[in-house]
Amino acid sequence: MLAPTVIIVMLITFTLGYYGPIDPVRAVLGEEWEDELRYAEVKKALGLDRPFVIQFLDYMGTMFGGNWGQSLSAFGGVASDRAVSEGRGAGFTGTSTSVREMVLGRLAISAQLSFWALVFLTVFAILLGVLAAVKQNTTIDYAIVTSSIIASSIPAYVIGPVLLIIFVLKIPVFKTVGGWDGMFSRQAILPAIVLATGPMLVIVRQTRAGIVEVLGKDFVRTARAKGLPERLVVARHMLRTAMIPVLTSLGLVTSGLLTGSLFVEQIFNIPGIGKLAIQTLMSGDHPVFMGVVLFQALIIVTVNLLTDLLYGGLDPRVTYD
Amino acid sequence: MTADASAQHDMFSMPEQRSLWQDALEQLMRNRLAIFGVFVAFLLVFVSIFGPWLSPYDYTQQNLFRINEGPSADHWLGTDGLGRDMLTRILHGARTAFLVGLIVTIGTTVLGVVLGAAGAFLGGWVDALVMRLADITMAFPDILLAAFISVVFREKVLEFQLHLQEQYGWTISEGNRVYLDYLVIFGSLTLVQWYGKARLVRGQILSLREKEFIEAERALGASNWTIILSHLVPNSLGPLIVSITVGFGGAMLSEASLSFLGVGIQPPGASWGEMISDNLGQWRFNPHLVVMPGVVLAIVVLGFNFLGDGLNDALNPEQRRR
Amino acid sequence: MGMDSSTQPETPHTTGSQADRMPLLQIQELHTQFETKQGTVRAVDGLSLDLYEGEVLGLVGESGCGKTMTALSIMGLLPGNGRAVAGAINFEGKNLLQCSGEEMKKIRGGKIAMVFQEPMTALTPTMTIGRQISEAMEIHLALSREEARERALELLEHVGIPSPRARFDNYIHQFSGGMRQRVMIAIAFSCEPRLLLADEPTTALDVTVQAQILDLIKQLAQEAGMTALFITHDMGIVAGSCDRVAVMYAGRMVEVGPVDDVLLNPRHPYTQGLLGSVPSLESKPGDRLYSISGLPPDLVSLPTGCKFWPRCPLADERCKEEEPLLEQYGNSRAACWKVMPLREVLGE
Repeated sequence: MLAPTVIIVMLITFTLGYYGPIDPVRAVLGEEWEDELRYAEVKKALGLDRPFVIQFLDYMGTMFGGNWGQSLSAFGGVASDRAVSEGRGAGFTGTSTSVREMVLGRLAISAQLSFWALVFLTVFAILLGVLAAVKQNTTIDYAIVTSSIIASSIPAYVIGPVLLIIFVLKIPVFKTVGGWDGMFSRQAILPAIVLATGPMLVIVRQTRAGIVEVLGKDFVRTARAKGLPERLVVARHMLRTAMIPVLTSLGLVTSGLLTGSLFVEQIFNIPGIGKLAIQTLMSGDHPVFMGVVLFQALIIVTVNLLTDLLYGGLDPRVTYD
Repeated sequence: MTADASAQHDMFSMPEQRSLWQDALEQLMRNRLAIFGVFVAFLLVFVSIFGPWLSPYDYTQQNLFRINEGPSADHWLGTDGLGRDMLTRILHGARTAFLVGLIVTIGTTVLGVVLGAAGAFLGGWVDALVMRLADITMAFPDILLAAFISVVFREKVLEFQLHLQEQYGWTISEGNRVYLDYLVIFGSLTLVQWYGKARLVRGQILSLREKEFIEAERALGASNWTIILSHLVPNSLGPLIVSITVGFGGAMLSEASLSFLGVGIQPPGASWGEMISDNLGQWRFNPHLVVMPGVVLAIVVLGFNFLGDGLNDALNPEQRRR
Repeated sequence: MGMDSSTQPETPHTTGSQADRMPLLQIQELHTQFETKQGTVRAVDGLSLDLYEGEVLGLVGESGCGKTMTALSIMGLLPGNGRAVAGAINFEGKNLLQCSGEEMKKIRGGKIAMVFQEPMTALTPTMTIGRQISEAMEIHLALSREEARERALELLEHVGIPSPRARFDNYIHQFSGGMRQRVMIAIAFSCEPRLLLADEPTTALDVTVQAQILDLIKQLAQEAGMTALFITHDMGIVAGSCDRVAVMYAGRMVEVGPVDDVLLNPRHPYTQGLLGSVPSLESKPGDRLYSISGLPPDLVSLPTGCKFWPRCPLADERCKEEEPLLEQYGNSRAACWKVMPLREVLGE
C-alpha cells in the first residue's frame, strides 16, 4: 500500500515538474540562457537531455537512495543568488544545496511550530469537546461547537493578521513578531495559535462525539458504582473509548497542520517547510519543491497508516473481530 | 429487522416525497445560523451580478495621489497601495469568488458523480481505479498540489492563448485576462477536490443497493432506471446537496488561498485572497486594508459552512451531529 | 388488622431473632422522579422498605415498576435528571440521600455494591478485566497495585473463572455472557461490601447459566454474611434464593412478607397474577394460567385510588377512589381492599 502510493505520487510530481512552467536551465542561467553553448552545458549538467523515462527512473533512484538530489542553486548562476537572497537552505544558514538537508532542516522548524499547535489543540480543543459533550444540547454546547466552526472556517491568513493587529497594535502583548528564534521564544506563540485554529473543529467535534457516545453507557455507571473518583472514571473508563473517533481524524489534523503551515509561515515569515514550498515553487527550483511535496505526501500516508495501527491498540476488539 | 423497518418506511414515504422536503425546509428555517447562511449566499449572488454597477470606480483605476487611505466619503472603505477603491475591489472580489466557486463546484460535482457512479455501477477494475485515484489524490496536501498544478496549467493556458493569437489573431483584452485565471483555478481545484463527492456518491449507491427495499423492487420487476430514478437519486440527493454547499464554500476559500499564495488570480484582477496578500505589508500602518477583505471572506465562508451544517441536520436527520 | 403501617418501621417475621435487630438499610417514603416533556414521571412513589442484616430480600414486579430505580436511588446513580425528591435512605446511621459526593464514593463499591443486568455492556470494553476488578480495591481497601492484583486473582478463582492468571489481562469481548457476569460479581464482592444490590443479574443469561450464577451469588453472600437485595421479575428466583419478598407496583410496595408465606398465600391480586403466570408442579394440563391483563400504568398520570384497579379483576368503586394502605395479614402485609386467598380468585 505504502510503496505503490509513494511511487505514483512521485510520478505525478515528477510529471508536473517535467512539463513545468519554468525551464530549470533558465532558472539557473537567468538572462544568460540565450547563449546556446551555456544552455546546452547546463542542460547536460542537470541531466535534462535524457528521455523522460530515464530521468524519472534516475529521480526514483535518487529519492529511494536517500540522497534526494540537489537544489538548482547548486548549479550556480541566478538560482544560487536567489536562494541566498531568500535565505533558503538547511536551518538558518542557507548554504546547503542538498534537497534532503534543506527539507529536513525546514521541517524541523515546522515540526516545532506544529508541536505547540498540537499542545494548544490538546489542551483547548479536547477540553472544549469534553465540556460540549457533558453539557450536551445546552447553550454552552452550541456556543462551543459554533465558535469552533468559526475558528476553523476562517483561514489562517485572515486570523493571523487580525491577531497581529489585536495583540501587537491594540493590546501590545508582543513586541517583535515574525521570524523564528527557536521554539521557546515568545515569537512562536501567535503562529502556533493561528496554526491550531485550522484543525480545531475536527478535534472538538470528534472529542464531543466520542464522549457523547460513552456518556450513557452502562460501563460508566458500573465504574461509578465502584466508587471511583470522577477523574478516574473519566480517565480510565471513558477517555480511551471516547478517543477512538479523535484518533481516526489524526490524518485530517496532520494535513490541516501542513496546509496551515503554508500560510502561517508566509504571514509570520517563518523559515519552515511551507515557506520553502512557496519560495521554490515561485523560483522554479523544482528539485526542492518536488522534495517538499513528496515528503508531505509521505507524512500524510504514514500518519494514516499509523492511525490504523493505533486504532488496533486503543480498541482491543479490533484485532479479534 | 432494522432493514425491514427502513424498507417499509422508505416504500411508504415515497409517495410523500414533497412533505419530506417540506419537513427539511421547516427544519432549516428554524436554524438561525443556516438562515444567516442563506442570507449570505443571496447577498453574494446579488453582489457578484450587480456589484460593478454599485460603485462609481473601476477596480483597476489607480490614483497615486490617494494611496492607503482610510474610509472617507468618496472611498467608503478607503484605498489601497495603488490608490484603488477598496470597496470596488471587494465587490469585484465577490464576483471572482462566486464565479470560481460556481465553476469549481460544477466541475467537482460532475467529475465526482460520474466517477463515483461509474465505480459503483461498473465495479471491477473501474471501481478499483477510481478508488485508487481518490487515495492518491488524498495523499497529497491539497492546496500545495493545487498550487503546483495551477502554476503548470497557467503556463499551458498562456501558451495556448498566444498560439491562438498568432494563428487566428484572437486577442484577449487586459480586462478579460482574469477569465484565464478562472480557467486555471478551475482546472487545478477540480483535479484536486473531486474525490470527496466521488467517494460520497459511490458509498451512497453501494449502501443503498444492498438495502432490502431495492431488492424488493427488483423482485417486483422494476428496471434499473426506475430504481435509479425513484430510489437512488432521491436518496443520495440529501448528502450530495450538503456536500455541494460545503464544497462551494470550500472552493471559494481555496481560490482565496491560491490567490493569497500568488498562484491564483493575478493582479490587477480582484480576489479577496490576493487583496490580503497584496496589503499584508500594511497591517501595522493601515490595518483596515488587510482586515476588510479578510472579514468579507470569513463571513462568506462561514455562511456557507453554517448553511451546509443546517442542511445536513435538515436533510440527513438520521446522522445528525448534534 | 387495619393498622396503618406505612409510616412505621416494618418488622420482619422470618425468624424471631431478626425482630430485635436494627435494619441495615431503611428506606422511608422514598419518592424518585424524572422530569420529562410529558410531565413528572413518578418512578418510585412513597416506598418504605427495611433490609435486615444477613437477609436476602427479593424485590419483584413487572419491568418499569420502579425496582431498578429504587436500587439506583440507594447508590445515588440515578440517570439523567432523576432525583430522589423526598424520603430517606438510612444506612449505618446516615441518610444516603443527604450524603456528600465524597461520602457516597466511599459507600459505593466499598459498603454497598451492585451487580448490573447486562454484563455485555456493563463492563468497560477497553480495559482488562483484571484491572476492572482490582481498581476498586486500590481505592476502598487502600491496597497497592500488586496486592490488589493478587486479590483479584483470588477473586477470579473464587467466582469460578478457570486459569485466572491467563484471563487477568483479557478484555471483556473475549468472555462469554456467564463469564462476564462472574467478572461483574467478582467486582461487586471485591471490597467485601455489607450490602449487595443485584439488579436482574441473570436475566440476560442462558437458562443453564442462570442457576450457576444465582448459586454463586448466594454462596458468596452467605460466606461473607452479606445482606442482599435481589431485583427480579422471576418468582422462581425469589422462591429459590430469597428470605423475604417485596412486590412493587407503579413505584410503591403492594405486598411484603416471608417468601414461604407470600408465595403460598399471596394476598394482593397483583402478586397472585405474578404467581399465576408461573405454572407450578401442581397445575394440571388444561388449567387456566391466571395472567394480568392490560399494561402497567403511565407513571406520569397515575390512576386514582388503588393504582392496580384498571387491571384488577376484583376492583370495585372503593378501589377506584380510595388508596389501600399496607396492612398486616398473618406474617405478611399487603395493600388491598380485597384480600383473599388465591383459590377464590381463580374461582375454584
